[in-house]
Amino acid sequence: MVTAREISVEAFSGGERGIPGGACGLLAAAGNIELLPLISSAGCLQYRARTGAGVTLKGIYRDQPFYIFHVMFRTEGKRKELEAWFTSYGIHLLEREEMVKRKFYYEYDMPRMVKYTVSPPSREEMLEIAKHDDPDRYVTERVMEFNSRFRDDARIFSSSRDSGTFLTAFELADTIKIFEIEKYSSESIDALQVHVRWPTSAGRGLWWGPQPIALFNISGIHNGHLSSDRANARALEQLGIRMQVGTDSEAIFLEVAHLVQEGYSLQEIEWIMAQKFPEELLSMDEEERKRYEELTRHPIYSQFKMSGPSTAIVLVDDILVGITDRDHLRPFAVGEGEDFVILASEERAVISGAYYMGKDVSLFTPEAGKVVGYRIKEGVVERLPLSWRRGYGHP
Amino acid sequence: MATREKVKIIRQTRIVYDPPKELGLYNYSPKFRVVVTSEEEEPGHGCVFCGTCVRECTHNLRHPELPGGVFWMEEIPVDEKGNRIEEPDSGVVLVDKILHIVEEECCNCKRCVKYCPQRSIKVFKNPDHFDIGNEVTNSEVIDLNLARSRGERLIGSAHRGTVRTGMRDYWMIDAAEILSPQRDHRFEFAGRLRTATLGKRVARYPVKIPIFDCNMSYGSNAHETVLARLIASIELGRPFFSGEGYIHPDMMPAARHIILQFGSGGFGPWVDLEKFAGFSMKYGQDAKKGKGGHLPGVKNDLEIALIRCVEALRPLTSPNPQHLQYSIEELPMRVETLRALLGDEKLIGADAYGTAWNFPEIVVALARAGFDYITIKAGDGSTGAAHLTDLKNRGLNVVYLAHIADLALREAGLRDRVSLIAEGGVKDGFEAMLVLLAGADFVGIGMAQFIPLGCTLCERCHTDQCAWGITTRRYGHRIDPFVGAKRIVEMNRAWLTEMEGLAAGLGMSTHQDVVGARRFRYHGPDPLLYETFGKGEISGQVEKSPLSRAQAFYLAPLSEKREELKGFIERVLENVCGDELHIDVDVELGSLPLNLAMKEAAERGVRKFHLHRVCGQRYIGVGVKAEEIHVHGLSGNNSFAFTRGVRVFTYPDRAGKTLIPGDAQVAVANTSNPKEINIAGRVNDLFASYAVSGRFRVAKGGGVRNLLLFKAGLPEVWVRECEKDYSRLSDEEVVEELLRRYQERKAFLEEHGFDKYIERYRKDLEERVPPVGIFGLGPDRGMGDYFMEYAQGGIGILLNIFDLESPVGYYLCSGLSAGCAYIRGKVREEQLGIGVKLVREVRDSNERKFLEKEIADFIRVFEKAGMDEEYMRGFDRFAERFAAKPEEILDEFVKVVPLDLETVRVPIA
Ligand code: SF4
Ligand code: SF4
Ligand code: SF4
Repeated sequence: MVTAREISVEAFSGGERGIPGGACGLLAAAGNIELLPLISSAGCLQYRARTGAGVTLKGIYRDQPFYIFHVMFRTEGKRKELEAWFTSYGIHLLEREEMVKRKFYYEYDMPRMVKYTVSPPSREEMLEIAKHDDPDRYVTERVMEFNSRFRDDARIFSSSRDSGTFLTAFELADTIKIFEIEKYSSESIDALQVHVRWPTSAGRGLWWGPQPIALFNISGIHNGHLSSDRANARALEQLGIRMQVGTDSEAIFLEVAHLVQEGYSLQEIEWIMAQKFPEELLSMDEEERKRYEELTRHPIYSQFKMSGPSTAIVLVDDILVGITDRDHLRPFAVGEGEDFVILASEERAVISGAYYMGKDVSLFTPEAGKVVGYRIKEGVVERLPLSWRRGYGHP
Repeated sequence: MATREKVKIIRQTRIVYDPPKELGLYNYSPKFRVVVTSEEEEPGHGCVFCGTCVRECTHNLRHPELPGGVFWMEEIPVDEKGNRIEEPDSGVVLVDKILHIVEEECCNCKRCVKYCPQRSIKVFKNPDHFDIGNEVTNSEVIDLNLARSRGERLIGSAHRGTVRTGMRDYWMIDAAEILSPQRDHRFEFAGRLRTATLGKRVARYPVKIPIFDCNMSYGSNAHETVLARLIASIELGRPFFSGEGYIHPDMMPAARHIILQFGSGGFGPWVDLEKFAGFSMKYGQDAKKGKGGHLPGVKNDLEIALIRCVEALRPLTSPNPQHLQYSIEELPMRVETLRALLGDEKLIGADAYGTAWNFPEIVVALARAGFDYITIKAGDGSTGAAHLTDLKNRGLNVVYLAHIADLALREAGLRDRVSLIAEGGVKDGFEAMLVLLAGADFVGIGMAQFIPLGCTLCERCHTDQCAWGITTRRYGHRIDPFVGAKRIVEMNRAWLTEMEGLAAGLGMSTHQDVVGARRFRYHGPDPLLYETFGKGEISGQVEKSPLSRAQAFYLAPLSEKREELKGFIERVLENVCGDELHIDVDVELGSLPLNLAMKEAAERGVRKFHLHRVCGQRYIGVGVKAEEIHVHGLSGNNSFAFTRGVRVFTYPDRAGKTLIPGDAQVAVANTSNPKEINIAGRVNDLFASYAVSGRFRVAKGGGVRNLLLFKAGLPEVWVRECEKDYSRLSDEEVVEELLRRYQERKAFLEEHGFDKYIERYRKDLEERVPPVGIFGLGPDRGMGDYFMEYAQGGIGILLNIFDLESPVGYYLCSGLSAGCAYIRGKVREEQLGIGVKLVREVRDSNERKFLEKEIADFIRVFEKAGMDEEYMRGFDRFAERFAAKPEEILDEFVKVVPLDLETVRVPIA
């Protein structure tokens, strides 16, 4: 039996005081990419980030029918009880696997990391409990519920059927080491996200702070500090979308994912998330302006906003979306190669990522408040036009 | 005809209270009554019509057409019967002498009261003003709403808080008594607060008194006020904080005692920084929390403009945010750049405001970023002008803030690395003691330093009419800086004595015993004071989280890191060839090793650097005394910041299969005075922001806020000052030198007056060469939003060599108060920022000549820089067209200038 040292609630979730704000370095890539070179290039962002680092790898769990949960338990004592909670919802924990070798628990103070292979209940059970029979939705709802209910004791930090997220409260190199992430370098990864974090105060919320924040097939990395006065959280609340981490970053990911899933075009997502200056409306054509005003005066979507320094990169199923705030208080760089794309919070991460992969890249920096979107299908990455929307003309 | 002298004989004297301008509802009810007694009313105290009060009172807001302030003297020629007559040119004239009093203007500054030889003047609250309204909706509510209805903007200054804090009452002094015997502080070593250091790491400024002066800017204070405070600080043995208006060149001999403050306007030349004691970052405005500052054009006189390196007589803006740090994430980057610039020996401080709910987090973040000290600015007290609603936005109590900051730093394991100064609303030694006991190392007092200079807290600093001359430059001569300094010294020493007495009474011996001891007991109703001092013993120890290895390394002094990197640096230096050095950055070399190696090389005489395969290394060249830097590849954030006299060229480079563009990341060349910086690529945000002088050329376009606060050139006076060395002067000699320089100033002022005096700077101002930023713009996009925001005299040019439909973004030149932007191509009205206008052609021959020369230089610089083919095709096309038909190109320019300015001062040889 592995012995994880017990971590205090304060250190784990921040307890009543919550998670401190943080500052971050971001890198995401998709297409024909290589894991380790990109990890090294994200390492150059580590100067910004000293506590907390995470990686999401898309595709490592593909071609299998189950949900893969990554769960961290603050205390050993609670594990059984929490497992039983799932069972009470008809969720089957088919397999349990230690994610981290014993020696690392000696070396690091960290929660117990366990991987579960999970299958949903039967349709009948779902209908009875949740009044619907969509297994993805059912599992996602349970994950949200679990995370908000037991946030002081555990965190499900990965719950996809396709990608896996790995987080620690340490540096990127430690995260790679602890989860032995090199082992995935031989697998074909469709996309990845890397996040390194520098929280404003040390010692609390260490295990809820790190990103990517992942929920089923949504995962996001974000860099910034919003001054949106929790408007985002209130809007999501009204949509019935429950936040698990509770930060502005999470709100942005959930909002972008919601809009993508609801079939809004990239252009519309851009308008909603990073509203234009009023002066810009003068040079819009009539029809566009009407649509713009309709969206930005929407009672709920008008509260979706990235105001204040902010760059976000969100992966929703097979769509990768990047966006900055309208004032461009945060830089954002994109590099397109022949068969890959890199999005990052700095030019240098893009260039060095390509360099370490031995490829050429053409660098650009999206304009303030502009969305860039890519689709990844079977390792092939394609830039999406702003008019793209799910289920309309661009299947 | 022989002229006889005119002799005036006073027939009668009278005191007249000028009637209100308007009667009825809009009758302006004076706040104060100014009553002058006649001899009949009060024998021995009667007015003798000497006119002193007329001279001394300067306050006159509502009737600027009148010559003086509240008082004016009228002499009416009369005949014997008292009928008014035409005044004869000569001979004996009978006059009636009338002292007029305009009570509405009085602000209760008491200058007249103190100067009247007869003690005839009484100034007191006007009961009729103060008794309107009721307990809840009092006279203030009614008075202010009436003022609003008159269209007035409710501005105030010298804010001392509107709510009484409980700082004075409900205390129990937890004195050491029989059961814990203490030493006698009069005869034995006890309660001595005279040895401390500001800064706890390498940079440590020795401090002999834990009471500091605050940041108040040159300009908001008269020259004499600054001088008095500066000398007082030298004599008291404490650093002097400059405020965001930089420092007068005459005060440079004292630079080693001065910590320069970088406000969001970044005013000043920013050269010669090694002479100063340190550098502080201002993260917020005192009076206007969360807002920017504004200096009206009239206050930006020739001397101020010279110091701040901006165009004179134009309004100045300090924007709300500190643009080089939008969030906590960017603090370490700021500190590493400043550290690279200043080294370990200089203090780097942060002035943070206690108005955010997550204040403890902010303090910890600042400490983690590596600041040497943090100034906690509490809610009460400030000199700045602000809207009354802002002044009421008080922030937390200074004692409580010191308490939570101290605890947060202890918990984070950082308290031994950072000093805390707490300021705001502290009024005497007792309150100062509370601040120390609550956990601050030092206490700052701002307005209180004015009291020995005459300040009566009349709240009129912003009007430029301070009768005591403290905050009004043209009346500054009313202060004798040397007498003022002595008084300030005495007052501060008295505070110190009071504090030492209290400390001894608590059984304490040294400064360190006091800081954070929390040894008073509070039993009053103020929740914040209760939180600090009321809850009984604050636990002797808190749970401390350890510093991570990476954090500890980050906070380690440069000297240690240099030692660690010694082998590497030596290997790099093996490639030195004459005064040139090639360094292969090889994509991944760290920013710090690169910077240290370049510094070491420069020390050993290298003047030209060639850096290869550069990939976003930060602060390249900062603090490096180089003549030329050639960067092959991508220059990282803050590269070339604060550089002086350097020439920089970037080029694309190849690393393996990857082409690294010759671009620049964020904030490159900020606050610099280079000869030229040439970027063969594109730049990101904030390029050349705050830059003071030099040529900045960029082949392609840029992100947002390029040339932000672009200044007006480096005046000769600063260049001359750079050559002087004051390091050998003792403190006494420094003060003497300040005195000598002031005597010169004063002599001139007395002879010629203030206006003539500042005219002396006109030549220096006009000889400055404004900085120029010129961008080619790329094939796919132009310049981002907020181009040249708040610019103050520099010139920006967008060539638009690819004829983009829309070469520039929105809020173009917003708040630009001098200088201009020349843009080739189409600009729509709605793209313009606030306060500027579009001029659709450039006709002036000087301006055209200037543009022509700049374009020719641009072409010459980039034609061989090896940029991509697509760009070079457009470039060549443009260059050919320019060679063939320069006039045609010039005809395609528009310019953006301030609303009220047509002419542009362009630098032409
Ligand atoms: S200073 Fe006094 S005595 Fe002189 S004019 Fe004024 S009120 Fe009269
Ligand atoms: S108190 Fe001040 S403002 Fe009032 S009359 Fe006297 S000098 Fe003027
Ligand atoms: S400095 Fe002058 S104007 Fe300001 S409060 Fe003091 S006396 Fe009044």
